[in-house]
Amino acid sequence: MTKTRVSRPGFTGVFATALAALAVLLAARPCLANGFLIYDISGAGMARASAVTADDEEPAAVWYNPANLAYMKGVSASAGGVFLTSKSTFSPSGGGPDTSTIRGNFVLPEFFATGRIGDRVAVGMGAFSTFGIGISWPEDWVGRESAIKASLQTLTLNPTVAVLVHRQVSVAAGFDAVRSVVDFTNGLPAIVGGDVRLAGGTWGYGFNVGALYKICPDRLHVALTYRSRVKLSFDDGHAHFSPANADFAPTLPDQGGTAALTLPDVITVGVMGRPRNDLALSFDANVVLWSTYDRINIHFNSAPDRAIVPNGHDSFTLRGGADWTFPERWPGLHLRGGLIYDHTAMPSGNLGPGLPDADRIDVGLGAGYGRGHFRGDLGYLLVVFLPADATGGIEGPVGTYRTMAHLLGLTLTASWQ
Amino acid sequence: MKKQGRGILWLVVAALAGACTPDVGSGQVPTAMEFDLTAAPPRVPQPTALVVNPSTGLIDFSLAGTPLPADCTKQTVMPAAQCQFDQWLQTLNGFPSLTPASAPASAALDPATLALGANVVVFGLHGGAPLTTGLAVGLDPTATTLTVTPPGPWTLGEFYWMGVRGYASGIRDAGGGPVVGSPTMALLKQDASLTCGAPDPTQVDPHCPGYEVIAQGNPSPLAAATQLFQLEAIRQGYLAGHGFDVMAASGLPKDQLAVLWGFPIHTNSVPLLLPGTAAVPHVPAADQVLVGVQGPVDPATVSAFTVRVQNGPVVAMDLTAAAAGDLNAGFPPIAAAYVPSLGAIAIQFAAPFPAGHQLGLFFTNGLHSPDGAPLVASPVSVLLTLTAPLVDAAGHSTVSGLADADAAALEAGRQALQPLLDNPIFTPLTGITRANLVYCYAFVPTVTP
Repeated sequence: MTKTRVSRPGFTGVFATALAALAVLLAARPCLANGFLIYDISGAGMARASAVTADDEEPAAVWYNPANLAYMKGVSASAGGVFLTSKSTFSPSGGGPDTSTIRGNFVLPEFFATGRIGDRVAVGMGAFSTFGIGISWPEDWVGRESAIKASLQTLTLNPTVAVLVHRQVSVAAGFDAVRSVVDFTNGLPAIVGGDVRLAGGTWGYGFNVGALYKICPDRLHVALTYRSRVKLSFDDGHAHFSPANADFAPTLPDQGGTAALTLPDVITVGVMGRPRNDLALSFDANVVLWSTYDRINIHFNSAPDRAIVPNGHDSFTLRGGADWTFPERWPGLHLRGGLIYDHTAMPSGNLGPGLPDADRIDVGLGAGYGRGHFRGDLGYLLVVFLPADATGGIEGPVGTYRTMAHLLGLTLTASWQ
Repeated sequence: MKKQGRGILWLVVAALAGACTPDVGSGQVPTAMEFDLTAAPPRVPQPTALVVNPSTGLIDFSLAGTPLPADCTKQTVMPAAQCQFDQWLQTLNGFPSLTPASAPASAALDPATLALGANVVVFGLHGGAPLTTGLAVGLDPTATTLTVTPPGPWTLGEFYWMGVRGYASGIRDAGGGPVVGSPTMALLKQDASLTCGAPDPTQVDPHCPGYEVIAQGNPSPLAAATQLFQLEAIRQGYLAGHGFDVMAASGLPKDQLAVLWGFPIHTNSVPLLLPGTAAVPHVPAADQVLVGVQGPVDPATVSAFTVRVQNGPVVAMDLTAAAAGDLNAGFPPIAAAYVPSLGAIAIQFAAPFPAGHQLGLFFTNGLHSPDGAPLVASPVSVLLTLTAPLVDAAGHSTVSGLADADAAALEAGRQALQPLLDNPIFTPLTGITRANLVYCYAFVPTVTP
């Protein structure tokens, strides 16, 4: 009772503080999974390649599979962040020097909280960023008309309810309110020179559902989740044109504009098997319907409209992870590892520098330690983008993109039962 | 405590909703000398050689994308008077010599910065020199159109280039800001081919810099490429006509040109007529009228019309007598001759003009210059003979470039002349038609020795 009194009044305070921190820390986000999906958002999950849909006992289950919340006891809250550094290099197909992006360093804060209401119902709340683009090319590079800077930030507020419908089966549903901000800078055609910066912010809404079936509790679990598409309509965008050739300035005044894009549906199936008490093996597969991201029409109030045609294709990601524990010698310690194969969502004919997507292979490692009410989880993910050829020449120059990224995730969790 | 926490939550959510949208910055839109061929109607400097058909040598408005209908009475695209006037212009191999030049701007300009020879350069190509004196450079009543008016008519057969210096060291807008050029002008100033050497519009490289500009927002790649080829033809015309060269030689380099345009003046001689100026009939004596003619006239073609005696191209009428039904007095006996020293056709009446009577003077294109080319009309003569009204129901001019007040004055004259020109016996009697008239003016003579 005393614990409850101490913790609950602090809950909203922590939550508000964390949200405020998120608002401050919203910064350009890189793309980490296929397209611009950022799937690996917790220290514990990242280390296991985020193959945790069927086995997640952390508050971040609000994102991975909220049906897990039904099995979590008491009240938990976690705060953390992912530090990411990435760099892309473009090699033009016709020869010539390579061009590299300005190394992007990003911090992605996340916050989750869960709590039980009675024996069968649990609620959760998450504030996290799972879609984002953050890339910055040199001002004068060959592909400047396609992208100089590209930034898409999202912050999802995700209240969730999970219900234990049977001691082996739980289901959950949540509501997604997605705040998104875009900020793009593109070069204007060579004769015009200079650039145009477009920015806008909007809210989009969606939902998510999840289910978990503990076929053999703590030995064999299967899970299924679905997170809906979210349409983001930027109806109050602003464009600032800075043509180098002054003759174009009168016809390119600063003006409003509109654009819309749709974040994709994400479907995940997962399985967890525990062949030994101290080892959990898990496998997840994501299907991401990137066909929603096929064309973006940017309508300016007076300047010529522009269309970006990424022509995204539905894609998939395969994840495998392991979690070792040492209950006898080092209780509370977890060692984790994982492997990801991520299939590109962008066809080579439409590949552009704003989103130089590629097939990727990721390797995850990490550890976690908990004692009493608190635990900390650290994860590292090496993301190796396989060389991706851009062949279309419309959405960007023809050539090959190479990208390497490193992620370091840290999550601190407090729990009271 | 709970209420306080909820309040903080909502505050944070509200902050998230409103904040975080980046400030993209802002810039001021400069005033521009306009050159927009795609506007309807086009916002371009006038007159312009862009509507002179190189294959026929005649003015051809279809080159501007506004072909004229064959029958002005069966169209609604433009006022009938405009249509008829433009049809007449299309018979000329250059613009009328009394045409003022003008260039539109996107906002009001500072007239104090329109210095001739410095910021506004006019160059006569055949004369081979810039015109540094005499021309009146000013603004229209709205101050948004720069005007260049010669003290007299432009030289026949001359090709004029006109350039306006903009940017940091050129003309200024009414607010003191710099004046820039237009996207069209930026493309015309390019040193390299806008089409990147493509042989036709279907083969333009989509990465060709000129095409990238034109294609922005153009839903049809072929239409964009076709437009690019049209611009390249204009650019080639500017180069072949040495437009940039003569401006640079006159101290106005290409990079300081906010707008450059050129136009030819027709080569035919023309009886001058511009009410309110010296270009009206001169009455040196009570029995003589002189009509100034710009350009040479073959004296052999100058003869008077005498009813049933001589079918000459110079016709004088006593309109007051004719209106009273006195046809004999309506066609007073006259003699006509060309006076080279005066550059005028002299009309000698057999008797002094009846006091207070209105005279009508009509010349036909039977008058030729020594090279055999017929004289052509001046715009006022044409306007007076149109069948369509020069003002609309609201009192506005129906002809572009013709001020409402001028249109109203000319409309009165047109309505006065219309019964005569439509009279079924007038043409059979005099041989005058609207098509062959090169001079038409009615006035009450006042002797000014």
